[in-house]
Amino acid sequence: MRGLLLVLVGCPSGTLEVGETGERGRDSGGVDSGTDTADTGVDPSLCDSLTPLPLDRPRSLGTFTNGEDFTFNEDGQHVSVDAQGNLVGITIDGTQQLLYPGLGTTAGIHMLPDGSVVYADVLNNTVVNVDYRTGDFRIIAAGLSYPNGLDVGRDGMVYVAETGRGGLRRIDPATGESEVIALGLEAPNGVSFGPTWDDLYVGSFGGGAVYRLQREANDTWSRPEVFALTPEALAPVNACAEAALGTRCAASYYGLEGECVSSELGYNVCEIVYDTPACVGLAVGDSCVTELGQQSIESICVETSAVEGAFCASAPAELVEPCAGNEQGSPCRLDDGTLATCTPTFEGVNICYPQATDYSEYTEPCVDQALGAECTVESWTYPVHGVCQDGSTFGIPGNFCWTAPSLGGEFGMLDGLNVDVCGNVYATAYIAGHVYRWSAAGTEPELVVDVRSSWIPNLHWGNGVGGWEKNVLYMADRQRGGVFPLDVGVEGHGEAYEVAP
Amino acid sequence: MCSLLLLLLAACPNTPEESGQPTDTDTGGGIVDGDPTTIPLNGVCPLDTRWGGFKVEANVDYSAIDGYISNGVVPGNVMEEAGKEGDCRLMKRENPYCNPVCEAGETCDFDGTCLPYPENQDLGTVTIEGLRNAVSMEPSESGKKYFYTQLDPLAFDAGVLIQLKTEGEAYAPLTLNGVGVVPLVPTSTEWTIAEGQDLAVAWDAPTDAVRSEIFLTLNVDQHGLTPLNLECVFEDDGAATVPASVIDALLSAGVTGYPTGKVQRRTADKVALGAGCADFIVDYSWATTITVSGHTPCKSDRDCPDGETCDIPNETCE
Repeated sequence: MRGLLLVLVGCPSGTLEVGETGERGRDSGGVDSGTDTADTGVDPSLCDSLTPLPLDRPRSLGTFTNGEDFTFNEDGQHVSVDAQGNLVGITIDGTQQLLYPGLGTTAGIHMLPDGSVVYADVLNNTVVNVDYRTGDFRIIAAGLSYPNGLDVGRDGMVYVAETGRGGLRRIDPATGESEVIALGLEAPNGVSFGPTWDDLYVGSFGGGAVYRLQREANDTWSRPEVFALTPEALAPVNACAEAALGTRCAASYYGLEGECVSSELGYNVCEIVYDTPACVGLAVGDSCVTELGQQSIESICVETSAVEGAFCASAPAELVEPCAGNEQGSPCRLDDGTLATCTPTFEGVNICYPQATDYSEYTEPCVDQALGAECTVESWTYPVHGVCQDGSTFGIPGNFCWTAPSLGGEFGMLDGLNVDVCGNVYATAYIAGHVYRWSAAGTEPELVVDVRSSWIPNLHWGNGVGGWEKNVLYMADRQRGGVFPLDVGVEGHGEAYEVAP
Repeated sequence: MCSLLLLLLAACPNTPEESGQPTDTDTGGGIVDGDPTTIPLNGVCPLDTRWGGFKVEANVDYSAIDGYISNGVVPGNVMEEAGKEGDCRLMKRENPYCNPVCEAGETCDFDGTCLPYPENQDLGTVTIEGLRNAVSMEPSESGKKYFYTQLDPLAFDAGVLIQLKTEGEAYAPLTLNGVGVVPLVPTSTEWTIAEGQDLAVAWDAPTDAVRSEIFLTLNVDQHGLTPLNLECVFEDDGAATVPASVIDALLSAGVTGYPTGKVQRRTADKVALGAGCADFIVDYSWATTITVSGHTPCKSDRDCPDGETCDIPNETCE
């Protein structure tokens, strides 16, 4: 890990736009917050005298819920979904009130300017507006792709990350109209405005990156740039900004093999491309030939729900055929008699795949390669792009191809994101128990705190009501259902309902 | 701006009548005609036809009522049975994929097409009798959800007949039955599961005539979408066994993070609605922690016992 950090410190400066080859964010700077505080009305001296870091390990405030996210209401309650799937409000002294039953599983919750609650229902792929005072319940957007983290803008719009789509969507809660405002993000998860409301930050669950979008004229948003990275993270390896259409690339999230294609937002992104031309005029089950990387594969034509029409599976026919018509997880047998399991490939095709018993498929791509060199694990299941890493940290001899986020946990799986009034960005690496802070200038991160929890999904400032202090950043401890208070000594960037017209 | 917020809040309804919660609650729940020891209880709806339902739930902290009945099924909620033995089965959530993604008001089907998102229906006034306080509910103006949160901490007495009736709007009037269950008291609060071993569970069995069943769920992978859930329906006789075969299958799907389980003592009834189904559950639930033998959750070596190191990707000491 230390070796990786040294490499990172030596990387060139300059923010990255989505689609650029992975490099680091801006050079490490001083302690200046970097925010023009004239824009926010904040006393500049406040922003230059923050609580020294790292903070002492905090003591949990007690038992709340193990909900993924929470918000604070005007009654001084911590509002979240409990283990029964019900919305509850809990005061800082632990008094609980049932607010609205039957919400289910949420991954992002926030107050709207009208005092109602908006949340991302991650299992139903919807965003819901519920008013526990009136009983109103409205699905304001459906058919999303793993909505995961949201914030509410000064315009009253809901900005929600779609992890599965690699995008960020803006939704009008009044009408349900929505539009995608960013694409090509690496597993976006966690959304927060900055203090001027003209910067929008999005975390990356897989890449350990924080993206930034900036508001442009006509309320449009800039192409996202990589604003900052965790010390452990890898820069997203996406070369589509400068590469020609059709260039092979690591598609969003799992780094799966993809191809540069144009997007509706005017820039190129990496998406999985299915070889449908190879099956034109052929039926499902017919033999076909496709290309994967530098290899020519004799396969068969298949169909999945992911694409219209048959396509030539990017796996050998002898692996595809034993699983034809079988469900994922079904037992199967290879030609040599080996018992294996039907496992979906990156194309969603079940193939007969034996469980790996060694790391050779990860180590071989990095033989004679330098640390940090790009590599690809040519697995039939998931051809995945990564970077050569020192395997000793993991007990793996030699170097291996580290492929975020499948070996991720410790390495910058960002979950929650928030921004203080000075423009400093805070993010949780949720398994590692780390909270990082970057200045608004995107300097190298500072460790805010290292807590003994393996699940710190989200964090919010108090609203000043009921003992929830405005200059304390409260963080969910989902492992134990607690709340950690982080006395960062500065208030949050504000809430939409404080500035709504 | 804060003052504006306060003004807005002051204008908001707070009473149950104003908020869409019950417009009528009796001080007594009334006695429902029928014999709770024999009244038919038809179980829960199959997932692939479940258009909704109602639940009277209780736990150590509170009781609540909520429900809705829509006009269809959200395909992503239909989990597939991936294995079964005895009273237990493994359920797998499939994730339909639509490209391009569906529009607002739609949901994705397994064939890659987008469907209209099912709409909750107006059922008219919904009454529930047999609780300590009878409840009468109107649907929320938007969303057509029914709920009530002002119940006694334990809303029902054990063994009494509880009856839900809808007045009839979108659908003909419905009647669904339940029976008040005894609060669930497990005799062990922490469970350990291990590969190749049955899991024995125990709880205090009711002393009187039993209409309830035990519904148990285990979840040992909570990062992102859970690939498999283990669920069991047991007779409410105080003890049961989760077979090793389904535990092994569950564990083989991945053990990460901090496993949890949930146990419900419940009664369930259902009624057909054309091609759909609606159910009514009365339950008392309890959540538990689960220890996976040989799996010590960790995020670094310091979390592991002497002699073991943390397999960081899988968050387990080895």
